Amino acid sequence: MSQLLRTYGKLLTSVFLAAVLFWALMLILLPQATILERALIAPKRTLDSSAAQTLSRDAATCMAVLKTHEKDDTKTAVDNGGLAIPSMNPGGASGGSAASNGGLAVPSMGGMAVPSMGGMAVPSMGGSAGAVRPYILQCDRANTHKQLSRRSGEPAFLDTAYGLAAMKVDDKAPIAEQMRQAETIRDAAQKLADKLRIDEASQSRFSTDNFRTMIAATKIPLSESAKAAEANTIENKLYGLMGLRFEKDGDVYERLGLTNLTRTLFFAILVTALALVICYPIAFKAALATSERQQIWLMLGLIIPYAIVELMRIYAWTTIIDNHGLINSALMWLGITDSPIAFNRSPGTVFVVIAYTYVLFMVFPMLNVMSTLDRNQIEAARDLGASTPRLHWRVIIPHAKPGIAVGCISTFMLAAGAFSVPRIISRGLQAEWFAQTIYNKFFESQASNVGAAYSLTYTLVCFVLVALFMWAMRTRLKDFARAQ
Amino acid sequence: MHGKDIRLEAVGITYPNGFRAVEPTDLEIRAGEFFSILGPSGCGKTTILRTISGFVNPSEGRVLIGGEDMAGRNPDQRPTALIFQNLALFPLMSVRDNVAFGLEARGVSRRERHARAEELLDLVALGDQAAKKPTELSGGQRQRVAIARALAVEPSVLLLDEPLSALDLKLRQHMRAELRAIQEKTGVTFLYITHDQSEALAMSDRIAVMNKGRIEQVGPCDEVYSDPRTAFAASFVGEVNMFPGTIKSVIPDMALVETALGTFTARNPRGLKVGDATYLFVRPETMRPAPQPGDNIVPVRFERRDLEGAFVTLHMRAENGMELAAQLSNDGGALNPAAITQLGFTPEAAIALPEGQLARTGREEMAAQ
Amino acid sequence: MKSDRILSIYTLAFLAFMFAPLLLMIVASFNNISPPSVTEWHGFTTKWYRFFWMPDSQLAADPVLRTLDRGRFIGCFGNSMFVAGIVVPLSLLLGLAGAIMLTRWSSKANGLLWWVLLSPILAPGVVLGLSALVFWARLGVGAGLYTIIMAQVTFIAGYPMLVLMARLQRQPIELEEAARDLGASPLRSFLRITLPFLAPALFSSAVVAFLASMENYNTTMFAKGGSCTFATEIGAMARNPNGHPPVINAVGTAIIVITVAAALAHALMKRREEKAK
Repeated sequence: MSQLLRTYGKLLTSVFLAAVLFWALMLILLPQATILERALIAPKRTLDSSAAQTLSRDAATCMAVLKTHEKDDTKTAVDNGGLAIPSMNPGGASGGSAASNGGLAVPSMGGMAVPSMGGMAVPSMGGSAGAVRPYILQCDRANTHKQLSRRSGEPAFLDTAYGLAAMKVDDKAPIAEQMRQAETIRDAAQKLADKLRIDEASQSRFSTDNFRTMIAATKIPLSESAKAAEANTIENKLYGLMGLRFEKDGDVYERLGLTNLTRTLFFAILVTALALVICYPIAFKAALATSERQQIWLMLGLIIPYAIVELMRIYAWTTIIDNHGLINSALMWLGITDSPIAFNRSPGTVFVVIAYTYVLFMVFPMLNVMSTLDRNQIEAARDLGASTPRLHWRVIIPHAKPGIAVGCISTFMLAAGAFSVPRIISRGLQAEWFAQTIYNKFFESQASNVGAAYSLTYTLVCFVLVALFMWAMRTRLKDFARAQ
Repeated sequence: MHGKDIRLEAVGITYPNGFRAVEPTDLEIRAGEFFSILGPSGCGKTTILRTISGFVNPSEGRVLIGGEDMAGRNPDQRPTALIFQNLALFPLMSVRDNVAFGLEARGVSRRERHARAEELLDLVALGDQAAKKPTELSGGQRQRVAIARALAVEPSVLLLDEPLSALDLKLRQHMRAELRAIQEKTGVTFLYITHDQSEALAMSDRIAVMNKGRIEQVGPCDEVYSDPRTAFAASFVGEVNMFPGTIKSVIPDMALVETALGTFTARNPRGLKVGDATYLFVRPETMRPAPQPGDNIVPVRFERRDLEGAFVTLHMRAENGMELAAQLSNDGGALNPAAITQLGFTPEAAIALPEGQLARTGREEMAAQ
Repeated sequence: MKSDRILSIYTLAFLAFMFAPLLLMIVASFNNISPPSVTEWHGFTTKWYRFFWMPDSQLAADPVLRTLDRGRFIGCFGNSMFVAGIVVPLSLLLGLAGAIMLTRWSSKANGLLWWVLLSPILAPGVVLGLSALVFWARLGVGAGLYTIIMAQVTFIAGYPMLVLMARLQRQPIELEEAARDLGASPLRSFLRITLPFLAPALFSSAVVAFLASMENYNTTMFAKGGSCTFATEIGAMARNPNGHPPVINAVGTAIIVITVAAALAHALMKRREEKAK
């Protein structure tokens, strides 16, 4: 530090120091720490206090709806201000249960509590016989015998767990009585919710639930014939070997989060290996095996596709692989196929386009390091009688090793983190890459805490792989500066 | 311009990693003198230079220039100018801007500093090169730009860190004379750092021989060459033949030294006593193939003759396998070296010094690299 | 000799593979059909280019173009320029500071700093966008252009850092010392000696940072919230179930032309420099 101060003085040194601290803390370390915090906090709605809070809110809504209903009691209750809609099919077979409501009420997912519909009463397709009030979901849910979210899967209920009286809104009682019942439930549940929230605040807020969700096995509904067919694919056999897919009681389970991660990493490694094989001769040619005049043009030929906006390189492929694209037209013209093949649905296409998009990230680090090799060394080796393979193995590859390592790491990380390619090429039509999974968890299914756990795991796994690779290749981080 | 004197008082330097670069050292360099510090690489001489110029803070002791304590003064606040080993000319500036840079930093107007720069470029005979970039100049010209740039800030002390080491032999010899002339013309104190003993001997008024963070000897060039005080000084400055031995008897100023090749008479300037282990040093140019009466005599056989121009070096081998060298003026091949069977040297040409570390020989140097 | 031949042919094949999709894209940009096609020629047109400046009446008459929101497209492009306008200088500052700390600060923590500052370049882009979003939301800053800027700077600053570091390592430290020794203050020595020395590297890393900011999709998608940039808007057009409009091809062709021109200019400049030496 004293050397820095001496060279740059107080002013500049403090500017540099502040900039680096801002970068390291505000942009790198603290954001990751926030992700860790997010990943360790269980989503709010699984807490017992929120179950009690939901109950209280349901009871309150029930009361409010009953009140409007009471006013319009004499009418046929066609229009209740949009809040509660009477049953369309009185006397129908359905018992008014949420499960048969044609998808209007959301069923419980993976052991989570039934989400509240935000105070909206949802109409039923069939009311129960003999009820005084029309079907109101919130009144049915205003029951203290409410199931709680438990990881173990053992049933637990609000009334038994916290000594609450078993209460519900009796749909056969007079409306006024029902409103009184709802009010009692509302107050009791609110009191319990407040108490639980205080208790929960003093407990640790952290849990590993989100990570468990990620590795949890999901039942795959399959017919017997589909099961037999699917069990025979290589992919599924490999998952079976890794314990990511298994059969229990005749049902197939798969750890979807992990198989997704594994598939992404596998494809990324494959892209990297392919890019290495493709690019080594190119880098060698451009760096060492061409005249100076040719080199300028060759470099231009490599730089231009490298510099063109990534998205455009991806879009360029759509004219080739579309249903009316180049390949399909060629195949149909040749009579090989009658109807277009949906290439954009195939993981193979995403693979090829990822390889195309990121292959040049392999060329440049190799090329840069290779071109620092003194060409005299090649001539000396040839002069001493080295064959071409020996020349590469003993002279060029050892020299280019840092560049090879940097190229592999860059390509791997880009391929593993690929998001734009699958999103644009497949238009969401095929198996997700891991980055897409994170996106969906975060923005499309509102499971952001689980998404944070996914993101963190993903980062760590990638970094561990890179660190292992660097250790195996004896590469140091400083080589990144050399290879640029 | 007037030179100032430099005084180091018990200056010791330890690097942050714990390496002791300079042991506590006292040194006085007189105002207006050409002083050289001579030593092998890693001996601490560059550290001393950087301490005087202010890039390194001494861990102990103090540095005074012209009687003023330099503690707490940054390089830009000291009356010194440093010429770096790689010259450190600013590659993007013209030669004129390079020379004027120090004045620019002092806020001198553009016209004035350019006039001054051209004056100095004339002094180093580069008046017509002012508009060029340093990379367009030859090695010797770059050298002179660096000198002009350093002189432009009118320093009292010019510090030179082996600036000639990148030049070839002819140019180096020419630049020695030029440096000496500039020093005499300006009267600035020159402190010159080098590992090349001939460079130091050729230019300096006085030299200091340094080894392992310690100054072994300070004195005028002739004195250091002919009256070395330590085994290191004797072996580092110039070529020597060395005989390990013990003091057999002592007579005033002289001693009898018993060695594996016989007993020799030698000067004893350090007052060694009977029984002391000693190294006996003899310069090759004092070895003669035809010994005179009173000479110490070593029986040898001829090994090799190297013609080096004005003189000839004969490499001989003694009975016990020790290699000895004798330097003779070139006689055009009149002498048949194979006929030589003994070498002689006078007692005055031999000097007995306390046993101690020696400078590395060429072969050791090679093994170390 | 024979192996040289094979290598040359292989290289040409590789270049063909790299350029073929781009050429097809250019061809399709002049074909009067949407979604873009190169197999069915429906006549030459420049309307996919003229989309950006044709009058509204003409726009409304075209069945494909009238479904596109030109104003939004241009607005998003403006957002991108704004974002890049902040990301580039900020990245240069952070990159310069990082490069100086890593090359000129000798300390045991130096190795750790290497890992921290280089990790964003290594990390998957989506993770950076996501963490910026979550972190700034925690501090009460909603997702938008601000979070896009922060997320982009996180990794883009790494590029100038690497380039400047390579350059700084080539600058002998004696240059700065010489300036100080001649009486320059630290600030003057930095501005007069180090900065001019770094200028070419600063310029080229500014170009790289600008391109990286403009084209970034993965990170931006996660951090953007309700706002949009050029890249996310282009990406959004892919989700059109009928295939994307050839306007994208027109934009792509323009980008290709600009890139080729810039690369050529760069190569020619370099050649002239070398000749001058």
